[in-house]
Amino acid sequence: MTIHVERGPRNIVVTQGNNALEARRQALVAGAHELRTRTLADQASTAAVAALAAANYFDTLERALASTPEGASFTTTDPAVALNEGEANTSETLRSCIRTNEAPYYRWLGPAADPASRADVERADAKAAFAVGKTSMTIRPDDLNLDFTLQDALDNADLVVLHDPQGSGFALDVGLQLPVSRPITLMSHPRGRASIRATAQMDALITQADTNLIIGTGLQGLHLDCNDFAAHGLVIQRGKAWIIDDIDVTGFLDTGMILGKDGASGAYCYEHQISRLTIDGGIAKAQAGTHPKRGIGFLDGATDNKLWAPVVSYVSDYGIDNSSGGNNCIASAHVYGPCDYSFVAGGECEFIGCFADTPRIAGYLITGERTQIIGGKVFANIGALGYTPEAEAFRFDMPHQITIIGVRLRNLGYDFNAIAPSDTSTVFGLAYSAVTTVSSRRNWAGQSIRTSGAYGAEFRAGSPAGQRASMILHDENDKSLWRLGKDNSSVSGNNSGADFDFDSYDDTGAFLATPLSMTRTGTVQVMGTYSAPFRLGALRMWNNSGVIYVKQGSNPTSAVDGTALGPTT
Amino acid sequence: MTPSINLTSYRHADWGGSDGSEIVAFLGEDLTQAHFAWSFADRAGGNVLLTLEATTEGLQGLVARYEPDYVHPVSGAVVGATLLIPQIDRETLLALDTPGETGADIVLFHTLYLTRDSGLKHAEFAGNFRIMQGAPN
Repeated sequence: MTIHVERGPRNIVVTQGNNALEARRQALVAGAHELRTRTLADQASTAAVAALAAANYFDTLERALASTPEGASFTTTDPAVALNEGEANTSETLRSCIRTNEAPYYRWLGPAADPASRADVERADAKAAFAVGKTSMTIRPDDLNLDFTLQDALDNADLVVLHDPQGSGFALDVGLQLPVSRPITLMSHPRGRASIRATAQMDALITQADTNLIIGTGLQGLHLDCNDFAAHGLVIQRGKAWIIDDIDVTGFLDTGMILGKDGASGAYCYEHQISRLTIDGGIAKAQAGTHPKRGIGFLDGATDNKLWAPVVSYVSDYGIDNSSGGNNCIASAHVYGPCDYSFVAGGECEFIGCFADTPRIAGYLITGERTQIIGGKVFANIGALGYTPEAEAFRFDMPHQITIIGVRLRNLGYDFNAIAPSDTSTVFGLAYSAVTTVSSRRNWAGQSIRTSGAYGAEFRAGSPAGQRASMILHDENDKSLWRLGKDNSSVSGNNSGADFDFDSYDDTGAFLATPLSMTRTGTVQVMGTYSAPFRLGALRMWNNSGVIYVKQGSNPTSAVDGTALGPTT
Repeated sequence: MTPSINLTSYRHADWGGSDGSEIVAFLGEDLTQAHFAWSFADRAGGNVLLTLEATTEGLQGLVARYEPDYVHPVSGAVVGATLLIPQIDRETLLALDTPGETGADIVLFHTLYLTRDSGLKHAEFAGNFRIMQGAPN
C-alpha cells in the first residue's frame, strides 16, 4: 500500500491504495472534498458548508484551531466562539467556523452555516465510527434512523454511550443481545439517564445460555422500560464478573432482572457485582391486582453474585427470589409492596441488612441449606395497603443449618409466627438469636415455633460442663425475673450433676432464690420454708428444723404457726 | 488534522522493506534531513512496544529517500517526493504477546511523527496496526 501525503497551502491530501490507479481515485475524492471545503467555506453562504463543517466537530475552540488547516471549516459548541457582534456563544449553539491565518485564527461563518443541531454532528460521527474502527460511540435516539441499529453499535463498539437529552428513549422492537464475543460497556451519558423502551414482546436486554462466557461487561445508568411488552428487563444467563450499576426496570410483565436460567442447562452466571438496582412493578398495577410476578430472580447457574442495595416494589409473588441460585449475597435490599414473599432464600445465600416490607405471607421463605440472615427487619404496616397481612417473619420449607441473627420484627399480623415451617418441613441446625419484636399485637409470648404432621418441635440450648444452659424471662427493660434450665453443676457419674433449676430474681433483677429444682434421677426440691411454703391447694406446708408443719387457709406468720406433723424429737 | 490510517501486516512475514509495498510518499518535499519516528503501542496512549527510526536499508527501521522524478498521483506532474520506507522484521512480530484467543489478530495503535529542522514535531497520521496471524510458516 502506498500512502501519499501532500502539503499544499494549508491542506493535506492523504491517499491510500494498493496501486497508483487506486491512489489516484482516492486522491481525487479527497482532493475534491478539500477543494469544495475551501471554496464554499470562503463564500460562507450555503448549507453545504454546514455539512462539511459538521464533519469536523471539536469540543473546544482551542482543539479546533490546533487541528484544522487554514481554509478548512469546523464546528464547535464552545461558548468562547465570538459571534458577529462580538458577543460570545453563551447558548453553546453549534457554530460553523473557518480557520484563518490571522488572529484570532478563525471566523464564524454566520447563522446560515450553523448546522441545525448537534445531532447532525453526532450522526456523522456514528456513520463513520465503524468504518474507522472506533472503539467507543455516543448514540442518540435519532441516530437509530440511520442505516444501523443499537444492536449494531453493541456488536461493534466496546463502549456505547447512550445520550438522550430530549428523553425520547431508544425504542426496541427486538431484544437487545449483549455481545458474546467480547466485553463491552453500555452506559448512559453523564448528562442524563437514557431509557431503552420495548415496543414489542421480548426480553429487553439479554445474554443467553450456551454462549461464550464473557468476563467484565459493564452496564451503567440505564432505564429499561419494558413498556408492558417485555416479559423481563435484564436477563443474564451467561457471564462472569460483570459490573452492573444503577439500573432501573419498569413495565415488565414477569421478572425485572434474571440471573441464570431455570434448569441450569448452559447457564453460568457468577461473580457479578450488582449495585443500585431499582425494580418497579408499578403501584397502579399493584392496586389493580395485575402486578408482575417477581422482582429479581437468581435461578440455576447463578452463583457467587453480590447484590448491593436493590429496591424492589409492587410485585406479586417474590421480591428477590434466590430459590435456585447458590452462595449469593444480598445486602441492604428493600422489598416493599404486597408480594407474597419478600425474599426467597435458597442454598448458602446471605441476606445482610435486608428489609422485608409488607409481605403478604412471609418476609423470608427459606428453602435451602446454610442460609444466613443477619440484621435487617421484617415489617408489615397493617392496613396501610388495604389488606390485613398474615405475615410470618420466616417460613421454612425443608431448610437446615440456618442462621438468623439480629433481625427486627415489627407490626406483623395478629397471629403471626416468627418462624413457621411448612407442613412437611423439618428444621434443624437453626441458630436464632437477638431477634426482637416491636409494636406487634402479640409479642414473643404470642409467637411460636410450630410443626405439624409427624414432626416435633425442639428448642435446644447447649453448654459445656459447669456452665448453665438456661432460658431467662425478663421484663420489657430486660430486667431478669425468672431463669429455668440446666444448673452449673457438672455431670459427675451415676446420673448426678447438671440438675434442673427454676430460679427467681428480685425487683432489681438480682438473683433471689431457687423455688424449685430437680435432679435427673427424679428428686424434686421446693424451698419449703414458712415464708415460702409448698402449697397444696389452700394448704401450706413447710419444714422447720426437721419437723413438717401444715396450715390451712392462710400463710404462716412464723415457723411454728401451724400444726406439727412430725417427725417429733 | 491528523488523518486516521489503518494498516495490516502478517505475523509470520516481514512488513515493509525496500522490496515491499509499504511506502509513504511525501509529495513535493525533500524530508531526508528531517527526523521520522514511527511508534507502535498496545493501544492509544498505551505502552510503546516498538519504535521505528532511521536505519540503513534492509534493516528494521525507517529509510527516507528523495526521488526528484516522482509523479503526482492526481495531476501526473513530476513533483518529486520523499519516500519513507518502513520495515518490521518478522522476528519482532513473532515476539509480540499473542491474545488469549487462538487465531486472534494483534491490534496495535501506531503514530508517525515527523520532526523538521525547525524543531516542530507533527503527527503525520495515526491508526490501527493490525497483525494478522495468517498460516504459520
